[in-house]
Amino acid sequence: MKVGYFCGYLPPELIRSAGGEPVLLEPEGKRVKLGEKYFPTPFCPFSKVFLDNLLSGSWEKVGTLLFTRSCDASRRLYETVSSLPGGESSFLLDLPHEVGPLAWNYFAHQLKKLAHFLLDRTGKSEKAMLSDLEQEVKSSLIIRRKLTEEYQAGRLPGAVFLGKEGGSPPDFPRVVRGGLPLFLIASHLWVRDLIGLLEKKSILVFEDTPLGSRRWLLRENTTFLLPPEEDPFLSLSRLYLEWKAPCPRGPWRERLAFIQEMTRKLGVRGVVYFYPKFCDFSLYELKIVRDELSLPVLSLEYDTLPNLAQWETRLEAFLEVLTP
Amino acid sequence: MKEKTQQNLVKFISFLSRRKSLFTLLGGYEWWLKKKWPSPDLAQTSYLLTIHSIRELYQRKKPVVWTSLFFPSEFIWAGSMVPFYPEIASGLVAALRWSDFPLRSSFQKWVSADLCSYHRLSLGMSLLKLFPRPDFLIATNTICQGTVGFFQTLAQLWRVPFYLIDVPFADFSASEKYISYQLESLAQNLSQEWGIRFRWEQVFSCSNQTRAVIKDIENLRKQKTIILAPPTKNLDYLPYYYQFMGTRASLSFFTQLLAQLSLTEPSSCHRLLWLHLKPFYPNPVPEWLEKNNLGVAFEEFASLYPGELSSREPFSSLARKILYSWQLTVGRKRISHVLQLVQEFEVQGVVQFNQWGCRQSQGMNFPLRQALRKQEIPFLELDGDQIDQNHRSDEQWKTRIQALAEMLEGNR
Ligand code: SF4
Ligand code: SF4
Repeated sequence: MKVGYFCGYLPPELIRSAGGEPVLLEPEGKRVKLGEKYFPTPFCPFSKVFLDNLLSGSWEKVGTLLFTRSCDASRRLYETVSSLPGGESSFLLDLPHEVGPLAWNYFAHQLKKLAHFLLDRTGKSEKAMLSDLEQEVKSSLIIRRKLTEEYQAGRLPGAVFLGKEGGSPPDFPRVVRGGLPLFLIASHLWVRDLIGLLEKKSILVFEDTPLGSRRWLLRENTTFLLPPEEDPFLSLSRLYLEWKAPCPRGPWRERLAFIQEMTRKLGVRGVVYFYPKFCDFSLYELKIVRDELSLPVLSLEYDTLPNLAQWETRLEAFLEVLTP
Repeated sequence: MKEKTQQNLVKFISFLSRRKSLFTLLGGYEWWLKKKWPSPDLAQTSYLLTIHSIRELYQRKKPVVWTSLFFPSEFIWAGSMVPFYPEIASGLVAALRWSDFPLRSSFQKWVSADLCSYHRLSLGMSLLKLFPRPDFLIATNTICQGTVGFFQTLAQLWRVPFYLIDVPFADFSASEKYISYQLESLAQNLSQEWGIRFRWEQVFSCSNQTRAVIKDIENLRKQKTIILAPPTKNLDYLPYYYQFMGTRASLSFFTQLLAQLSLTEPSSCHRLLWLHLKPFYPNPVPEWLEKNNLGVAFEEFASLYPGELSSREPFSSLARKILYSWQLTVGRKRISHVLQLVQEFEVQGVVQFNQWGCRQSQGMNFPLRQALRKQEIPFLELDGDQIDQNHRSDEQWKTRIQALAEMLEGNR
């Protein structure tokens, strides 16, 4: 059973252990027609493009769709999808906003609910799932640790993390070219287009996106040890809430510390902040990044269509400032 | 006013707002007002309470806590702290026609114009140091996740702690426990770090009494001939529904409102249900509604948690109160709640003011429209912004209100 998801907090480890085949959904860009009918103008472009892809049959083979309670747009997207024909096979994973033991336990409980939802559909036994999950979490930590080291050492630039369907790990290490190092913070849409554009300008780009590295990397203060949790759900919960790289939803202090640490280790010269219009998390984070980071920031906004020509002009002006 | 003069005036007011002793003087003014109005009417009560709140917030004798609309004020009053609701205060700033300057100030400091204007304006007022300085911040993310970004930015601007009460979206019993634990650990934290002691009994009893009076008001408003005029006026009373719940101020306000409402002349206007909030700057919408024989029978933001708060289980009962906001925020629940209100208040049409930066409510419009259409209930949407006048579109509002009135007349 193919299980589609897009949020970086949905664990492919769990999908696999429950007998599903994880499919990381990457909606393709086209003129949004169907999505506009459901959502108003000042609304998340990703949700519109996602809905358009779904309704026009891009993911026909994906039987089950998983969502998370992250932003307002994503919960409305889930509600809309679940009200459509076939919507009963979608699931909303309740994702706590905070960190700490209360949140870990709550999230572990929600992950269990997701596991049962999946088991009901795949027919796999709970016992088999539990033993697979334990193994999945262990090996996931080992891979993540290695990837974090490689990334921080500057050996995983460009689009290497992108498009790894089903959450399978990217190949590493990579041979690295030279170029002006920049940090790219982006969301779900047009990431490949922008990385392509940056690389065309001989930039060594290190991406922080939900399609790529943000799903894999661990935080700096992570002990890299699997805690002696008896419950694999609790381990999984902590892996995602406590150790995985945080996303713009926060908590902002942890998120800012992560960005500061990564930009310092990678020795980047500036930040490209590539954000969807009407995305509250990005809009707030952009302000904090501008206020708190001592690096030049180029902000590029997008809506439901890519605008390469405009991005290129802005990028060239930014590069002139960086390399006078 | 010229930009320079405005900036100097702001600097001067901000300077004054930090002089605590100045606000002590307001105590004398308050005393004089109370003498002058021994039995104040509703407007006088509101004025007195505003002066009193300004004094408490700027004098800073007790911890000042900024919070979000769906965080129960009873928690704050029970800890002898002073709550400040920036979203409510933004409405007041807009009503005073003073929103432009703080909105511009926030924009100049990278606060995007696409964010909710309640938040933008509060950030502007914070950057200008005009709102009272918080000691710490407590918010829930129940109504919108934008609130989290907003409060995180406030914490960054004011350099104060921020405590988030995370509210799930489903699974009532697990959620109740999760919220209740969070409230309990917050209370412990505040006791240890701020020396705050919570006394629930009196505040909860006052809140429960107020809720009973509000219920009477609701029952009265269910009668077909009772309309609270002018249309949308009840939304000006939101501070009493939220900020002052658990205090004598709310109780006496609603007691007076109930008495006044019982004496109103019967009305034969078309009855509407009002969703979301309204533009708070002076605008002709209430007048156009009235002219077109349209009255507001009930507002969804006036829906109150029907349960009692209990000092035997303070955290669980507060958690249940917070979870009641699912009626507004969880799509399926909101739609069935709206349909229920339509029935109970015998309304003929539903109006929603679409706030520009509000993703949570606008993201629900499609299923809401469909549900109302299915029941053949006319649905009027007014697009614009409730705080930022730059997004107002009077002509569109006027035309749509007239169209609704004509449709309802035709249905008579
Ligand atoms: S975080 Fe932003 S881009 Fe992602 S779904 Fe939410 S609104 Fe859209
Ligand atoms: S208007 Fe909408 S976005 Fe703004 S604070 Fe209210 S719920 Fe949140």
